Amino acid sequence: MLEDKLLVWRFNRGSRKALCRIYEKYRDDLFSLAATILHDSSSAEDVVHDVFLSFTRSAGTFRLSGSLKGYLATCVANRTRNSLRSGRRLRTLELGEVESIKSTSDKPPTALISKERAKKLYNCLGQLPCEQQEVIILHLQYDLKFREIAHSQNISINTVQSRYRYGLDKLRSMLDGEMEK
Amino acid sequence: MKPINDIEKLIKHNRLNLTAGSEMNERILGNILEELQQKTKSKPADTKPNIWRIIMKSKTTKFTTAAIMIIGVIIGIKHFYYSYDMSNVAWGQVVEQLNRYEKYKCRQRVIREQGPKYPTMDVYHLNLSLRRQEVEDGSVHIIDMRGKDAITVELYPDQKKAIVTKLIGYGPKKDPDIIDMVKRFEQRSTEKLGTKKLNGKILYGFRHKPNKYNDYTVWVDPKTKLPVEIELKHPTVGQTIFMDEFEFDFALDPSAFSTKIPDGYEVETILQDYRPREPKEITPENIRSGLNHSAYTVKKLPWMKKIVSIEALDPLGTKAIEYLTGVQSNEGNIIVIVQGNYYDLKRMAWIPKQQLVLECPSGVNLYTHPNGSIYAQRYLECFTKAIPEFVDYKNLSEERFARMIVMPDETALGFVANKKIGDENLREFVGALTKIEAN
Repeated sequence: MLEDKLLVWRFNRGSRKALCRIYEKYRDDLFSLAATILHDSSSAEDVVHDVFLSFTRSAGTFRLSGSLKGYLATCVANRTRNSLRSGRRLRTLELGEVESIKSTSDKPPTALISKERAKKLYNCLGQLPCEQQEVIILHLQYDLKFREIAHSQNISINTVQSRYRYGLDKLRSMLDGEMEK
Repeated sequence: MKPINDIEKLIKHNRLNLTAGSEMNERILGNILEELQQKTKSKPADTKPNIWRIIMKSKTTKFTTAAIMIIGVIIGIKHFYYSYDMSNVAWGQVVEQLNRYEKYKCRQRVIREQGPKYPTMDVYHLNLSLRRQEVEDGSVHIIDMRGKDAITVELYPDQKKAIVTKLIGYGPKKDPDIIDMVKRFEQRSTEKLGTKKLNGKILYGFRHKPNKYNDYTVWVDPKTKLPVEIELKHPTVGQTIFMDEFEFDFALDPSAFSTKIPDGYEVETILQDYRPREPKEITPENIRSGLNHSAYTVKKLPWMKKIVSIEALDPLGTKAIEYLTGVQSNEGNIIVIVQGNYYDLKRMAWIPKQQLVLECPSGVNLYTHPNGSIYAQRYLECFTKAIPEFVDYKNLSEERFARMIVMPDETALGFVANKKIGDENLREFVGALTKIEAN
């Protein structure tokens, strides 16, 4: 956090090094987030590009109120939503993308089962409305508080919590049976 | 139905971890840095708030600040030293440093998922045409490709034995080694991996994956900007080469690279002719005189229609001369026996580690070949291109297979067939192999 504040301070003063460091620090996380929601790595690249370009344009006036990671993750989520609304279609996750989901087991059979389960999970996630996906991923995978999500999306905390709850309910119903095995 | 917490846990622990590609990084970084430059040109940065005025208003904070400043200065000095010492390494600097050295020493290990184990060795590269390899079993190899005829010398000090192989018409040649390939990586296609600690030293990592066959990782010492570890993965082969313990500009007497055999060594000389030549039909006697060990031919059996022997260059690309004896069966199958100067059990020690598929009472054994299908395809193509009346090489069967035959005298013969052969015919064929005796 302290490093981020210092980086933002230097970035606001036009430091190229600070901008590079911010980019290198968060690019993979943001790329993964965009790819998770969009299910398309080339569109995810465009989203990360646009977010960083817009962030760079705020140099000199950028004010950080929460965490930088949270801020950038929210920007990516907002932009992916726009990108989806502008007509890009969801698709199912390719095997290659599932390969990059960390396996918690060293034993090959267990690792394979986890991968298959993760693939199902991501395919089901992809079928949720974008708003619900965003809240679930931002909260569970990027540790953003409901309050932070609500603030960044300009909606009430109750709306965020309902989206989260409805999203999880739908996921549960889609995965019911499959996840029990 | 599962409790909600389980689904939350599942999502939390199954995060997609994708890595942004180097092209993407280059594009985005280039654009945002350009944007920042435009921005800073057009708009001056905000002035810094006067922190001192805020802090120094209180007496207590004045003393606290003084103490913090002292600690800060100490940390700052350490931080400055650390930053200076471990300053970022750009790939271009590594290449620049590497280009300053021609000779280097490293330890080389090869880890394979299957197949024979390769020995660990210390390799001293004097230049791209001359190197010395000190193998873990105590043997020493000198490889000299400076002359028209390349020479390799294998010294076995414990046995006082030397094997000299003259590769006629092979040189002069520069053999691009891994460091030479590493020097050619471009900054734009080399991805930064961050740092890792090795024996208390921070190393900077770079990755270069030019294609699906090669995946390089280079760990560099930020002080010298030279590699400390290099890992080259061959994913399609299931093999990784590790290089470490680098010494650039090593001190080794020039005599260490001499191909002169020390006194008292028993010398075995092998000649391999690499001068270009077209395949040609030969007699069994030609095979015997071309080999430095036992040579074999096939005695004609009732199911054999035709037997032809040819001399050809190794189709696997070593450019060595090999002797192929092809048999056409009455049913249209093609069998080819491969013989070469290095085809014996001492030099092909990996064969007995393969699966034994046929054991004949005469002492002849048949083993599987680790790259059987490719081996079979190359030799069948080579033979049928030279002798098209056997079969059109474009119509080779997908059933093809390869075996390695080990004769009782430990001579090895490659065996490839275009179609499957029953055990009975195989036994008969093996029984028909006859040593070619001198006239």
